[in-house]
Amino acid sequence: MTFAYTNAEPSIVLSEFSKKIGMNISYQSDLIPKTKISGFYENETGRSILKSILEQNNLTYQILMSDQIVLHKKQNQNTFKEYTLSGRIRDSMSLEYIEGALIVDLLSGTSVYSNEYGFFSIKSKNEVQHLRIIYLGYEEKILKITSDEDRYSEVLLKSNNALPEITIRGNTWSKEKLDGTILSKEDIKVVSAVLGEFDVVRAVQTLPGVSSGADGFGGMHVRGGSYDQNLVLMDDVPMYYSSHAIGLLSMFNADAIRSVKFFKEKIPSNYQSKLSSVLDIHHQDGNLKSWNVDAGIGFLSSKILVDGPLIKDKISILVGARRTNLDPFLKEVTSYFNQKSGKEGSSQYYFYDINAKLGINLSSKDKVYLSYYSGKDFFNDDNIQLVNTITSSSTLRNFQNLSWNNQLLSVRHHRQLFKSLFMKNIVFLSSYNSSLSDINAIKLFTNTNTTDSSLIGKSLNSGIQEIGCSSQFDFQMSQIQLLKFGLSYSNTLFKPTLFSFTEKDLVLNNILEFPKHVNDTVQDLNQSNAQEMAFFIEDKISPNENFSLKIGLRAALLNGKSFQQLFLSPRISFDTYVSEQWALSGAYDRLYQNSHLISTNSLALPSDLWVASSKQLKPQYSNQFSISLDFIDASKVECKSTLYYKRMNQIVHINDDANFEYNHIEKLEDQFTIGKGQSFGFEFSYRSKFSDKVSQYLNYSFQKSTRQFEALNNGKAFDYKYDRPHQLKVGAQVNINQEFGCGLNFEYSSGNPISLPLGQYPYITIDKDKPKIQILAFEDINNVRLPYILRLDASIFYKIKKSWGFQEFGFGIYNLLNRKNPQFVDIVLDPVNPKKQKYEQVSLMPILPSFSYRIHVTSK
Amino acid sequence: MISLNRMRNLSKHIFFIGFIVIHYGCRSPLELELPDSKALVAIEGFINPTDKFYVYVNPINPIGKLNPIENLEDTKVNIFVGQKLYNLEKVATNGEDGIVFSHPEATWPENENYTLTIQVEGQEPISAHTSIPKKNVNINEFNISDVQRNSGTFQSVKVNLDWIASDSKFGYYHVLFYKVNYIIGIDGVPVPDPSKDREYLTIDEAYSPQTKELITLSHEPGVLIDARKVDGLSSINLTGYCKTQNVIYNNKESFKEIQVELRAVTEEYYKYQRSLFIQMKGSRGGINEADPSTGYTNMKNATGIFGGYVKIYDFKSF
Repeated sequence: MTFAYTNAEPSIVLSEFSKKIGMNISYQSDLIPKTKISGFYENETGRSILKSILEQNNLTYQILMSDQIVLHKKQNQNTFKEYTLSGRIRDSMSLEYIEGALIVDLLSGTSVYSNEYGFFSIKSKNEVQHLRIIYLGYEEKILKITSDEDRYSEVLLKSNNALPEITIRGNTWSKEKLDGTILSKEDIKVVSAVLGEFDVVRAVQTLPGVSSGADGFGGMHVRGGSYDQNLVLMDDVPMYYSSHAIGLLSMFNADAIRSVKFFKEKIPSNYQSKLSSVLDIHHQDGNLKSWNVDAGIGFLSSKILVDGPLIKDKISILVGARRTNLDPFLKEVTSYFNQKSGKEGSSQYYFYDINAKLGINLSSKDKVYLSYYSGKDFFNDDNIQLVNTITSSSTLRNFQNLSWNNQLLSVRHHRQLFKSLFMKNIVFLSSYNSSLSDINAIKLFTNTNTTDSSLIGKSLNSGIQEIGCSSQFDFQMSQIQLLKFGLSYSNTLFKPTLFSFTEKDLVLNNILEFPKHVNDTVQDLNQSNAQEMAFFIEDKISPNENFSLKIGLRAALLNGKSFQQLFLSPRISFDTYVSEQWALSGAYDRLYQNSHLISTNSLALPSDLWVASSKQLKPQYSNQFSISLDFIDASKVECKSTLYYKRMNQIVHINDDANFEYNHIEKLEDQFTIGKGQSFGFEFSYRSKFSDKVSQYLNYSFQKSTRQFEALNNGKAFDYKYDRPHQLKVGAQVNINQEFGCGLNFEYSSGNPISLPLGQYPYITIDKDKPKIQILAFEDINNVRLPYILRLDASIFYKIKKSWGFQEFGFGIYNLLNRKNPQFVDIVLDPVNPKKQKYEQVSLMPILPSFSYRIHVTSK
Repeated sequence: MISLNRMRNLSKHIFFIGFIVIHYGCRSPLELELPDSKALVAIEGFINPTDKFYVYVNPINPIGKLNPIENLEDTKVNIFVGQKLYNLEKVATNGEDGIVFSHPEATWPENENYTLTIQVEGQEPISAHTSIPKKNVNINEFNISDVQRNSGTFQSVKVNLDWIASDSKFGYYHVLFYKVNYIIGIDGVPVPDPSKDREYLTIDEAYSPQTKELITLSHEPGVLIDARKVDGLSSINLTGYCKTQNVIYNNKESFKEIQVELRAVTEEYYKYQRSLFIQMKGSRGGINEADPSTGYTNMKNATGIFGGYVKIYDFKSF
């Protein structure tokens, strides 16, 4: 281009130049002198012209965006000063902290993310800082800060009240990558509701490499691991069983959630170790400005959430509760069916959970939280039957009970110690109990006035109590280095109990009133403690915007029953941009776990048994390698491909001849055998958003997961029961307008492997007078694969905004295709040929419509 | 406008229908691709020095679509004792298309290794190994007490058995109790009733203080004990209550004697019986819905057991 000016003030020259190139030029007014200048340029580029104009005044420029240029002084490289800008990112309406907001220094290109308490610290060599703050679901903010000293800022972001959508996190203005997967509330609501309930864990299960146990039931399984190998945290407190209704729903109320982080690789060192993954969930803190009530009713449950300021801008409170609606109906329906088959009695099921959180701002840099959670599931089946024959009459009573509950309590304090140093302290208590009882009683009267009676029962209880504390420090050492370090301690008491009991010579009244349970001293005999003291450190170095390296180490001293072990857990990862849009990353994680879960079925029942590590059952550990290739195209498309290999050691399985019928009080550990496992696979995920209205995702994974125990299957390796070679998950969200939207989720998954008998044969009894007993003949463990699982869910929602808040109506269909996905297999007589038997599958979730209604009220 | 009662009834009916749909709509036949299996034959054979040795060969009755073995007639069964080969002959059928083989004359020495080989037409060769343990056990003491009768009919008795291993190396044991009915013989001397075989007794609340196990059993009479891990013992004690399986007998029962058969068994014998006990029980005790025990086998290319044992007796009269 050609550009000329004669005897003009630099500000006017720049203004004309700006019009010529069609870009805004911004600068501090005191940077530009008033001395008039002249110049003539012919056939030169815009860049060289601008450079020439600015050099005369020791200035330089930075192109921030496609239409924005910023001028600033040239740095003297010999005497540079580093400025630190720190602060917190908050929601402008509720003053809740925002985790994971991206803060970009537009001049230097440096970027950081806000931590779980909204805190960020960014260093710059520029006296003038232009910061761009981005967080999904909120309007972007540009901050221009001029300072010659370090500053602290509270940044408020305004929500854009978006409808649920599949989010793309790509941003070419920053190459800083967040480790793990962050799910927002909108991400959770993209996955169709089950019986009117959105669910965090179901949203996580749409990710590649993550599956449920059996068509939605049975917990969360990551890369061929079992569900106990996931560290599930609710407000920094570990949970041992986090499902309602055997995995149909999780214990997390989606409406009360603020943030969800999920790691299956590059697991940060500050997390207590589990072999497969970390699911870190934080509830909302509570609104510091106004009161809100959020209530809803669905097919399965009703819920309410109230939050607001006890003292404005100072103390917030949040209380939420959820409970099933179905109990009275369930009791009547089961009573009806029992009566039809000549019995009296009914079944009952309910669950509830309560969340409470108190947040206290001690100062602008100090905050304390108190969090409490209580949740329970209860199932009961109780029936009595009278059987009369010519010679006798008998009363039979069958009683089954399954219940489990969690109670969590934590006190958290965080403080900004210095401009670049942030501290977090936690003290917590986690208590989990499950109880399974099965009692059968019979009282017999004969015509000859003889009586007989017996009561046989068995009971299984699993109790865990964990107390712990930790201190963690985040230190932004420089523009390119973030250091995290800290200490933690936990003491976990495991109380597994199994026993059977009998009682003879009952009088009839005892059939109706069971004697008080039980020999409680038995409970203490299998009790054991596990302690962990750990130090962790993690250093993230980003020498330039194209490369970062993270090196972490967790050193833990594990104490248990008759053993002590020092475990070093290094975690190393790197990220490098090979081009503007392609990034390569890799990770190595060595993880350990100080407990074992003995699961004997594929439904992951809450009655599965937790035991502490010991000299005989040493802590399990794993080594995982992974490598990924990412593609990000602005905010439209995000793709990721990952290859991984994981090897697990010291994993536990019950012996083939294990029997818990007897009071194996001192020999519980002898019922288990030790072995190893391996898992490898390929994962692909694709997310795109080509318009404001339509977004979609596609996740595919291939996986091979096996286990090997010397004492089982003749020492041969066998497919792990949650091995799923192929999984495909596809979803789409269409937001027709600000009020109306719909979504579809599709899932295909290979079936679970199971051990099926090939047939049966007559057993030679020692007592020849007895009729022959048929024995099931098995071959290898997990020798057969169940049919594939396929499910399509759909949902629509309609949101009506009002001056006081909004109303939302939801309608969904779970399993729209009514596919009978197998949960487990039964062997029954063939009706065509009663001498033969055949397999029959049992499915639990056919087509299920649901509705939900939600109302949200905000005080002014 | 619908009244509250009508709404309540309406919602109940909707729920009923929904429940019925869910409850009855969820079982369906399962067509599975089963792998080709070699183990379509089940073999059982327990060998001991004093009794005739029988081998039971049964076709597995398949579940689902697998085809059963149709012809066992040409089956050949042999047993190697050291280097010596014995051919077993077919002696009976076993119902359900099974065949019983035996050798009429051979004796089976202790402390020897045995190899069983079976050739079934169209199948891979079947084989298994076992041994007969050395007879190193002796019963120290056998007592009965607390005999319970009801209208003259025996109900239960408390038994206490104490035994030692002569080389103090304890292994696996199977302990069986039974009662013998007597009749008056020709010369007026009581003799076991030839019309009735020994009746096996179930045993409840069996307890061995050394192994600290409270043992209850399933369909089989007897107690299985793994005494390998108890070190420094001079004897093993077993206490329990033996019961007749039949609640009512005629009042003229002439029950005279209770016998104990103590078997020192091989590891494969123990593992097989124990895994079957658990399978027959249908659960693993306190843990319901557990995967079933897949059953132990020491057979190659078949399922079942070839196990060995030695036995000694004792008795107590009433």
